[in-house]
Amino acid sequence: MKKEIIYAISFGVLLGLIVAVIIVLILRPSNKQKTLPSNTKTTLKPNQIKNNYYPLEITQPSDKQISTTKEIVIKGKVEPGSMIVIDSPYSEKIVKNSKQDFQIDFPLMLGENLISIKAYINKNQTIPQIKTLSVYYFEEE
Amino acid sequence: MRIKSLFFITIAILIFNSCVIGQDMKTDSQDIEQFKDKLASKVAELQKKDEKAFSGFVTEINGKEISFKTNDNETFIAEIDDVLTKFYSLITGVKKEIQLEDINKDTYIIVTGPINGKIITANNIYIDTHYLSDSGIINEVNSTDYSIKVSLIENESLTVDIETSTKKYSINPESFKLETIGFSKIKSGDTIHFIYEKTNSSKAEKRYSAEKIIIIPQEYFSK
Repeated sequence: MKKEIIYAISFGVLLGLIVAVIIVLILRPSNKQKTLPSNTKTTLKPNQIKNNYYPLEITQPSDKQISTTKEIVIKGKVEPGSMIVIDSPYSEKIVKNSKQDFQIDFPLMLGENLISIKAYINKNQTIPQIKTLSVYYFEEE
Repeated sequence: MRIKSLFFITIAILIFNSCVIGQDMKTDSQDIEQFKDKLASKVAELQKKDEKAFSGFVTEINGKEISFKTNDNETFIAEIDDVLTKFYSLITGVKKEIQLEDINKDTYIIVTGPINGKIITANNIYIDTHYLSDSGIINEVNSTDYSIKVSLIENESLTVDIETSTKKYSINPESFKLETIGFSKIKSGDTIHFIYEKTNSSKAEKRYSAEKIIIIPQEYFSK
C-alpha cells in the first residue's frame, strides 16, 4: 500500500474521533439541565439530621414497663446543648440540656402513658431525634 | 442484670439459712425473720420492676381467650381465669371494675400477668384509650375548618383537626417555656408535635383530631 493511502486513512480516523468527542461533549446535558423543575406549589420539608451527633438514648424507663408510682424519672443521654421535648397525653416538659446526661421527673396518668421524647440537637435541624415508649401506671393493690 | 441480682439474692438466702443451722441455737430468731422478710420484699420489688404490660386492639374473643393485636402487629392471647382475672375500665380516668362481657372486638385493652411466648395468663385486663403521637412541619393552615396540613418526618402528609378541646402549646424560643396559644398563632413553616386518639376504625384515614399540639415556632430555628 502506498504511504499516501496510509496517511489518508490515519488522518480520516483521527478526524472522526475528534468530531465524535466534540459531539459527545456538546450533547451531554449539564448538571443544571439534569434537575427537573420543581412543582410550582412548594412543600415544606423538615431538614435532615446530619451524623456525628450523640444519638438520643433512654436508659430508664424501659418500654412497656409497669409503674406503681404516679411519677417516673426519665434518664438518658443526648448531644450536649440539645432541647429536649417530652410529651404524653397527660403532661409535657421542655428542657434545655447543657450536659450529655439528663434526668427528668415525669408524671403519669392511670393506664397507658405514651411518652414521646424528642431531642433537637441544634437550631439548623428541624428533624428531632425521637424515642417513644409506653409506660403503664396502675395503683398498687 | 436483674436476673443476676435475683440469683445472688437466692444464693445469699441459701447460704444464710445453712449458716444459721450450724450456729448456736441461741441466735435471735426475730432478727433472722426480719432479715428474711427484707430479702423477700427485695425479691418481690425486683420482680415487680421487671413486670411488663401488653396492649392492643381485640381481634377475637373465643370463650376464655382474648386475642389482641399490638401496634407492632404482634398478636397475643390473654387467657382468662374465672377466679383470678379481673377487668377494669380506665376510660374516664378512674379505675372502675367491669365484666368480661364489656370487652368487644376492636376494644383497646391492656393485659398484665405472666407471659409464656405469646400467651399471657391475665391477672388484670384494662380497657383504655389508645393515643399515638407524630411530628412534622406545618404546610398549610386552614382557618375556615380549623385544620392544618402537616408534612411528617417520614415524608407522608396528613390533616390534623384542631378542636376547641385540643390543648395548644407553643415553646417560647427564648425561655424554653410552654405557652398556651390560640389557633391564630399557628403558622405555616412551624414544627408541630401532636397527640391524637387512635381507634381501630380509623386505620386508613389520614385525618385526625388532635388531643394536644406543641408548636416549635420557626423563629427558634432561624436564630
